[in-house]
Amino acid sequence: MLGRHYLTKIVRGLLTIWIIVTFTFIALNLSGDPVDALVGDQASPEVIAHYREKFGLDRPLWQQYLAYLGSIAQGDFGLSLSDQQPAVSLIAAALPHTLRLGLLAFSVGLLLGIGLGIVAALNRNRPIDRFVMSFAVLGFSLPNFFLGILLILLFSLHWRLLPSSGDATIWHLILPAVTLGTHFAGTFARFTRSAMLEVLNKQYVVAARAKGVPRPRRVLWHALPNAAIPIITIIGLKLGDLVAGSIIVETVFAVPGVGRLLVNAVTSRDFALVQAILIMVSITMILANLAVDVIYTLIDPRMRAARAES
Amino acid sequence: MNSRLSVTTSWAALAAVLVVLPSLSATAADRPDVTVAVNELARALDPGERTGNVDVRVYYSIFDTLIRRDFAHPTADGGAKLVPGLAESWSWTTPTTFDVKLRQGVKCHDGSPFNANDVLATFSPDRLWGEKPYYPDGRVYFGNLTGVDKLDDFTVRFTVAQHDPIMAHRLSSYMSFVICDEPWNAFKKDGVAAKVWMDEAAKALRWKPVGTGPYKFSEYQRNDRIKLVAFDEYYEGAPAAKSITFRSVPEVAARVAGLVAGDFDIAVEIPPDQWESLKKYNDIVLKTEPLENSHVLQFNTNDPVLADKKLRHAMSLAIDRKALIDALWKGETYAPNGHQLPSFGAMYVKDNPGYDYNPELAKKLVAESGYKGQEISYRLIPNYYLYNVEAAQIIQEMWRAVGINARIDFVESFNEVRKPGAQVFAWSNTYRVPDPTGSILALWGPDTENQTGWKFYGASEAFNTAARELQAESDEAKRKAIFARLLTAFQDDMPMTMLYNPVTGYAMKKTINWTPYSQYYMDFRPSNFSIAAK
Repeated sequence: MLGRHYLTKIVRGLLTIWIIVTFTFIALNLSGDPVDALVGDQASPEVIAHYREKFGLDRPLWQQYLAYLGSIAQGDFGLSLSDQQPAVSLIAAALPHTLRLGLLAFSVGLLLGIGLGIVAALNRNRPIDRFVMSFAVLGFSLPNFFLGILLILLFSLHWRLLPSSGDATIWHLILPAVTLGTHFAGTFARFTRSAMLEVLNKQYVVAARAKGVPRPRRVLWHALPNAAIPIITIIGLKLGDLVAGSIIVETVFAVPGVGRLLVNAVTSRDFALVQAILIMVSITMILANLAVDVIYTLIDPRMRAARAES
Repeated sequence: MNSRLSVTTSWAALAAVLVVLPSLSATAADRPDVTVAVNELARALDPGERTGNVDVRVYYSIFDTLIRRDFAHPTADGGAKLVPGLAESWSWTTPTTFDVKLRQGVKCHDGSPFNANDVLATFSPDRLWGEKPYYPDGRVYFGNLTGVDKLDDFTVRFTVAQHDPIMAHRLSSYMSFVICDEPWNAFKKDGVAAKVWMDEAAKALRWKPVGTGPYKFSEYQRNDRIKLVAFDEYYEGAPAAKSITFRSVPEVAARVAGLVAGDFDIAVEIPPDQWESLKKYNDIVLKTEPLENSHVLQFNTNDPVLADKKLRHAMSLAIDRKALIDALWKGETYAPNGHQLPSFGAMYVKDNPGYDYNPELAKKLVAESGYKGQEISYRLIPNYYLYNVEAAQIIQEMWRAVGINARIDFVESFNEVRKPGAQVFAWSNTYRVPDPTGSILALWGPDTENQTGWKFYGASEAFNTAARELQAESDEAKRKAIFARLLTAFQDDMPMTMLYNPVTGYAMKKTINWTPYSQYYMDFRPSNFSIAAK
C-alpha cells in the first residue's frame, strides 16, 4: 500500500515536469524571439534570418515543441543558444557552486532559525520574544539584493574585511551565505516559534512538567519532535527552493552558480538552458517533497498507519 | 667613426645588455596575474560570430588584424591613424587591387608560423564575403571583395569590384581579425559543403581560439571567468602580465568593492554615478572615454504625423543636449556635429552645424506644422542603453515645453521597437569604420534596411544622390565636398537626431598603466599596457 502511495507521487511528479516543460516552452516563445536578444541593435534582417535558421527557430512552433520533447526523452537537453555549450554540462559545472553556497546558508539558517524560534516560544510575549520576532520579520522581508549590497558596502568597501565576489575560498562565501542564511533563519524562526507554542501547552508536555522532567529534556525530547511536522514541511519547501532562492544572491556576489545561469539564460532568452534549469529545479522540488513525505512517515507513526490503510 | 669611441661604445652596450638581461628574465618570471572585472563575459571567442562589446574586449588580446588602428596616437587632424599589424606594408597596385606585404617571423598560438595561408583562411569567400558566407556580417565589411589571392608566402592581393578608399581601415576593423589556418582548415573535407565543415570548425574553436595575439586562451567557465595566458613569442615582445583573467561580476557595487579590496586590477563599465565616490581612494584611478557610438533618436519619416519635416525639426531643436550630457554623463562627453566624428580625419567636416538647440524656433515650427497635439509614441527597451530611460523622461519634458505631446512606450526587443506604429525610438549608431561609408552610409544609405526594408527613412533625392556619388568617388577632396553635401541633406531630411556619444568608465589600480580606447577593445599589447612596481 505504501509502495502504491509513492508510485502515485512519482507519476504525479512526472506529470508536473511535463506541464512545466510545456508551460515554459509556451511562455518563452510568447516572450519574444531569442535571436533578437542574441544579435545587436544594428543587425540586419539577413543576419537575424541566418541565426533563426541555424537554431531551427524558423520551423513551426509545434515542430519545435515535438522535437524538443523527443530530445529530452533521449536525455538531450540541447545547446545553449548563447555560447553553444550543452545545457546539461553548463548546469553540471554551475551546480557545485550553488550547492556549496546553498548548503552553507541553509545550515546557518537552520541552526539560527530553529534555535531562535525555540527561544522565542519559551519566552512568549517577553522582550526577547519581540526581539527575535523582529529579527525574523526583518530577515525574511529584507530583499536579498539590498542586504547583499549593504554587506558589500560595509565589509568589503568600507572596512575591507571580506571579499565581495566569487566563491574561491570560505572567506568569499561568508557574505553571500549570511545574506541567504538570514532569509532562511527568519522563515524557520517564525515557523518554529508557532509550532512550539502549539505543543508547549499540550497535555503531555504539562504532564512531563508535573512529573518534574527538567526543562531542556522537556523541550528537546517531548515538545520539539511533536512540533517537527510543520518545521520539516517548511524545511522541505525551502530546500527545494535552494536554486531559485539563490538567484539574486549569486548575481550580487558574482557566484557562478545555477541561479545566475538562470538569470543570464532568461535575459538572453536562451530557451534550451532555461528549460533545462527549470526541469532540474522541478525535479529538486519534487524530490524534496517526496523526502518530506518519507520523513513524515518515519517520525509520525499516525501518518504511517494512515497511509498504509489508504 | 673614431675606432676608440666605437670600442668604448661596444663595451658599454655589452655591459648594458649584461645588466638588463637578468632583470628582464626576472621580470618575465615574476610578472603578475591580472584580473579584470567585467559586467559580462564574451559569448564566444570567435571574431566572425560575435562583435559585441563584451566579446571584442576579450578577443582583441587573442587575435591581431593585418593593419592596426593606433588609437592612442591619432593623426595631426584628429583622424584615425593606421599602423602595421600583421602586415608590414600595403598599397593599391591598381585601382582595384590592394597588395599586403605580411610580417615575417610571427607565430600562431599553436606554434605554426604565420603566413599568407592564414590570411586566405580568414578572408575566404565561404567564410566572409561570398554569396552566402558562413558569417553573414562579413559582407557588411567585405561585400566589395571579388578575390583574395596569395602572391607568395608573405604577399596577399585583395581584389575589389570597385575602388575602396577605406580598404586599409576595413582591414583594421571588426571581422578582419586573422585566424590561424591550420586549426580552422583541419575541419575541411573534400565533398563536404563549406557551411557544414565551417560549422564544425566554429563549434570546436569557439572556446579554443587560435590567433597570433599577445595572450592565448587558457580556460573558460561560463558566468565566472575567461583566462588568457601570456604568449611570449608575440611579435611585439613578451606581454606585461603572466595571465589576464576576465571575471564576470554583473553588479557595479561588487566590481568597485572588489577593486578597492584588491581582488581585481581593473573594473570595467563604471557608470557616472560611481565616479565621484571613487575619487576618495588614493590607490585607484578612473579613466573615462567617450565611445565611437552615438545614441540617437530615430524618427519614422513615413509615419502620418511625423511625415511633416517641420515637426521633426522642432523635435530635434527642442532637445538641450548639453543639459542631458551634464545631468547624465557629468559633462564628460559630447554631441557630435552631425553623423560624423573627428576620427574621420580628412573627411571630417569641422564646420558642419550639426543639431542645434533652439526652443523658440522649435515652438514656431510646431505652430507652422500640421501637428494637432496628437500623442507621439517614443519606444525604447528599458536600460538597453545606459540612461536611456532617464534621457527619455527628460526629452519628454523638453518636448512638452514646446507643445509636443510624447508617450514613452517600453518594449522588449528591437523587433517590437520596429513593429508597425513606430514613430520615435531610441537607437545607437556605431561608426564601424572611421569614414562615412562605414557609418552613415552603412546605416542610412540608399540600400539599407532603413530605406528599403523597415522603410523608416524616405530619403530626399539630394541625400541619395550624394550617397551614390560618395560610394563611387575616390579622390579625397571631392569625397569631402560630397560628404558635406550629404550631411546637409541628411540633417534637412531629419530621419534622426543626435543625442550624445556615451562614455565608458574604467577604474584601475594606480600601478596599472593602461589606456582605454574609444571602442570597446581592451588593448593589453606591450605598447599599451605595463604594470608598475607597488
